[in-house]
Amino acid sequence: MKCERVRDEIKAYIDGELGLIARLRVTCHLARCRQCREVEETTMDITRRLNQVEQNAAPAGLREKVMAGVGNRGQGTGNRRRLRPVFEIAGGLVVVVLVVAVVYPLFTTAKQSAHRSSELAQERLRSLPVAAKPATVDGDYDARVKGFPSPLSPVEDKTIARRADEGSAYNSLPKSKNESLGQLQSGLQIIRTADLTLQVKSFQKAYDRAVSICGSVGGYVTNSSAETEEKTPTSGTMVIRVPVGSFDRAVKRLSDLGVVKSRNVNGEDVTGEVVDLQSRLRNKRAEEQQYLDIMNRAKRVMDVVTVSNELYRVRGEIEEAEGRLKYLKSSAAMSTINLNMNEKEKVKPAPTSSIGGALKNAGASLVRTANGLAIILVWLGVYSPFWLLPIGIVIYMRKRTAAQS
Amino acid sequence: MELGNGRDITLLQGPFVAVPSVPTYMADYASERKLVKAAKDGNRDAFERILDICQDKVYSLVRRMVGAGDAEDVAQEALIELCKSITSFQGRSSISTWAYRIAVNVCLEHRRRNRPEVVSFDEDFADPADDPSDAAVKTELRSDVASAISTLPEFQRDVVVLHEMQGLTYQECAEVLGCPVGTVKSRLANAFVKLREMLKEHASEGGLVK
Repeated sequence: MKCERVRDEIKAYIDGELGLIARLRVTCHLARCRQCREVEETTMDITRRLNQVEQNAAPAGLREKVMAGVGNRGQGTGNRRRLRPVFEIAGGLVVVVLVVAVVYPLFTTAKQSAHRSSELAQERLRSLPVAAKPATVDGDYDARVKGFPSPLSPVEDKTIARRADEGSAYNSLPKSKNESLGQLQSGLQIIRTADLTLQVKSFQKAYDRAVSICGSVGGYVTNSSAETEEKTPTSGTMVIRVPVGSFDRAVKRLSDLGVVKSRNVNGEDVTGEVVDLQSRLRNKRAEEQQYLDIMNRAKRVMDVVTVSNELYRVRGEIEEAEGRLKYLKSSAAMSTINLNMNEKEKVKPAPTSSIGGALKNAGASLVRTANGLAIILVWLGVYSPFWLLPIGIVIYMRKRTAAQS
Repeated sequence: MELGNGRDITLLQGPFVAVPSVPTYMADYASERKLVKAAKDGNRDAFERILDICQDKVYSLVRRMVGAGDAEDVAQEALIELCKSITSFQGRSSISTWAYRIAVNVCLEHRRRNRPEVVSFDEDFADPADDPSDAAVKTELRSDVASAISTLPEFQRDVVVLHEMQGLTYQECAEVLGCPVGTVKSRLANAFVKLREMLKEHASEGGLVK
């Protein structure tokens, strides 16, 4: 064991406060180290000297003073003890108020920021192409539209004629399931319409760009109008028709012309009506063919007249259905975009800084500062019970203590 | 060998050293509990008896912690606090240890409120019964011990006062000061290292052991 460590433990060794093993180690070291033995003797001398000190007797009259003090100070001490919870509660309330005053505005600001971020995200989402579009309305749709059999398809006519020859007019629908399914898949008809309102920097430039975009996607402008202010057009509308396959692309490119103020995209599914019209057409053509056969076999004039009237009626219905079908398919093939554009109002340039401007700004700043100070004073006044009360109690207690002393 | 202050030391043969016995004020622990119970019940004689037990010890300790100037006032405050706390005394320690704990807290509070005062231990080491032939030497040596203790840092001096002068054990010192026993041990060891260094020249003359 090293001398330094022994000397640190000499006092505890002398006082008997070391454990057995530590005491044995120190004892063994002392047995062979003369210098440490001298330190031990010195420590024992000092200990002995300190232990010889007598207790000081309490001065006379201390006991009476204590008894008197116990009687007088009981109330004061009691008051101090009774008021301690008040201090603690007041301090706690002040801390709670400060925390709420600091945290609540931060929380409100964060909530507003989140709300604003949500609004921006929604606005960004609205500018994106509509996700709910028919699966078949894609790049292949144009080909399918083009390849869709026309109302007067010779394939259909031959099929209907064959069925009619077999004498089953009402079985004129194509028996091939794949053929009917193919028609349904390619026959998904959606009439898409978009209403777009933009705020643009220059109406004329935006108009020219819109026409260019329209042409690039294979569309055309059906209608346009403009309003003029100060000799140059500043707002106007355009009705653009674009192929349905390019609809989303066109809407996106047109949206990039300015700031989107409103955007509304609708899709009307007329597939059911188209299929229904096609079915009716087939039936009507079959009926017409039957009437033509009857006409060929008719001998009497009365029969010929009757059949002619029926033929006339059926033909009218056929024409009507064909017209409606053509319209629906045309509308679905070419979507409509109603584009409104307004020029942004030009902001007049701010006047250059001057002494007058500096005075104005300084005055406004002074007013704001005064308002801020007034607000702080109002807050302090409203919350005065929380901070005035503990301060008042502390001052009162100090005065009382000073008076007593 | 008797070291005084109510402590009996049994000196073992050879290299073994003294082991202090139980302090005498601990001997009446059972009767102390009865005394405390009676004081809590409102017995005035028991109350005064407790005060008699504690007042000299408290005054001695206070005088050695804050100095002679404020000793009486601080001792009075400590004893008043002791009287008021009698109802909350649980009886887990002796009355003296409990009284010392209150007195130490009052002294520490006094130090915090007031400027630190240099505590003199000259009177503690003055012995008018010494042999006049070597009184001068002894006085000089005792005053060196007193001045050495006065220069110790407060936290080391308090432990020296409690253990060496007031006769508390390490465990009792730890209870009074509210610190671990190891802290008491290290503070005492460091205090005596400083005392040895300060008294090295005079302790080597070796003429002080009785």
